Amino acid sequence: MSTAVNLAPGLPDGLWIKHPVLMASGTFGYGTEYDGLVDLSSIGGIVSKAVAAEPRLGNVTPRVFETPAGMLNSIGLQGIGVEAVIRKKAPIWENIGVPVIVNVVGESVDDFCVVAERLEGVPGVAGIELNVSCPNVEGGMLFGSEPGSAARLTAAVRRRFSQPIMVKLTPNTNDIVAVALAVEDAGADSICVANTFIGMSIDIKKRRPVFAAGSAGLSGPAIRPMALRLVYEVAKFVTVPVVGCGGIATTDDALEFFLAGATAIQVGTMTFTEPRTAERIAAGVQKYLDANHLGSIAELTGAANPEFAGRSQTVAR
Amino acid sequence: MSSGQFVMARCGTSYDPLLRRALSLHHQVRTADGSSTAGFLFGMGKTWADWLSTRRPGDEIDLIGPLGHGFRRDKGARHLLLIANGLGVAPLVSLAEEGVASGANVVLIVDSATKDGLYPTKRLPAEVEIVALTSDGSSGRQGSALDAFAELQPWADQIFLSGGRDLIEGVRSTLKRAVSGQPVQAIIEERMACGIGACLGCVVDTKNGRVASCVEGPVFDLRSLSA
Repeated sequence: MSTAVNLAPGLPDGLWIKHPVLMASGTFGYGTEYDGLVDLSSIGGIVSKAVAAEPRLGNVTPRVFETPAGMLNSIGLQGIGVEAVIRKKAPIWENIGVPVIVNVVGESVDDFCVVAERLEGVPGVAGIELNVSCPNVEGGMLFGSEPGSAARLTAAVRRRFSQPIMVKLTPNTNDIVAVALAVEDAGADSICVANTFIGMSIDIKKRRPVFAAGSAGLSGPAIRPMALRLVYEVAKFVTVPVVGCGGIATTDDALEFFLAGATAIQVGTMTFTEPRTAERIAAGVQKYLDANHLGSIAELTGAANPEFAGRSQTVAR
Repeated sequence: MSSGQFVMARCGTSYDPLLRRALSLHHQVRTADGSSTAGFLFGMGKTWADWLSTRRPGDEIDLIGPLGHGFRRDKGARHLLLIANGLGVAPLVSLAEEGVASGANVVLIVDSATKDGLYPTKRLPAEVEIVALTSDGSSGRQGSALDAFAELQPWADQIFLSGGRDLIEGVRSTLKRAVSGQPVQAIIEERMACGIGACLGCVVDTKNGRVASCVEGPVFDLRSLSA
């Protein structure tokens, strides 16, 4: 029995993770902030905080706000920039014990390409996650809001980066399946479904939005049914691995996502509440496989989805 | 723990509330065998607070901490001036206890809208001199903490603040006009999600850049903060 999965079956070396559970971008810093609270050897890998070509200050506070079974965030992609990441973070990642996937952001296709080129071959970097929830400075639309722009971005990065590329889709789009197919076609090794949903809150005492930017990203258990349904739909069409993300808090939640068609899942917001969530889910999934006499995650992936399109690509190592 | 530090407390077992709550050290008792008891103060009325208030002696509470940097008393500072708005008094009670134990003279200025919001003075060491003010004059002097601060500022060796932006700005202005510029530390409160420096929700602008107040603070040297 093996809980290992391959997030890049299309590449010769693939991207193998020991457990099908990753720490989601933006919730686990650069991987060391939870030292002593999380046992990294018990999870599959980490997706780093968003990395841009230049350092970014991000938004003013307040940046976080709790909502029923969830939270809104408007961090604004504060970050130290790719040069500082290569100098100060990648050396740590070489010895951290699990694969680190770098989340990449930008305001233009060129921005993303600069980061991808710089990260190619850097020891400690196992792959990148393309954050297409960013607004394109040309036109203001999110890169991931329509298939053409998402595909152009993915193709441009694919030409400059030979290691695994996971494209993290935004749910704030009319046709996420079309976007998913477009990025798969453009060279994505796997697809993460999905990033936060746009929402807001208003301060009734001050009579203005809580966040300076107005809207913010909603995450946490409240969005789980919506994220799950998007995984289910996307998994009917794409053949690359789908990585499920959105409000996963327990082993049962994770199992829903595997059954819907996910090959792996990410845990984000729930880590704030219970740092050991990802470890507990990894252990819970292992126990479930044992108890149900399943040899691998592949036997679970898409089992509740009659139209699941993915190839069986997880082979016990 | 030291005064000014905090813990992230799980205040329930469900998704309401979802996130942990930051609680500053309020009171600490060290026993002869080396163990200690920490006390936390919070206002009632929200789901998380009501849940905490109904825990019984012997119940376990899930805490992450101690977190952040606490207040730093200068060696040789004999006159400590502590100023709080309302419930901001929580971490200053622990600081007042430490100050008194080290032999310093401690004055605590605390204000509230009405007398119901004033901290019960009998819970402070007798040696602490308390200046209580209410906006409506229902108890103590009528006025705000800033009014009392202006009078007492020349006496202080070191100043510690725990309150809103108005208090911090008011103290800044008073010190600009004053002859002496004593060291001032302020505990800065920003909404938190993780409490440990991963999410960057609680940032504060300092001369060293935009930093997570849960890691670089929550106590900051007032002069290190950007205007």
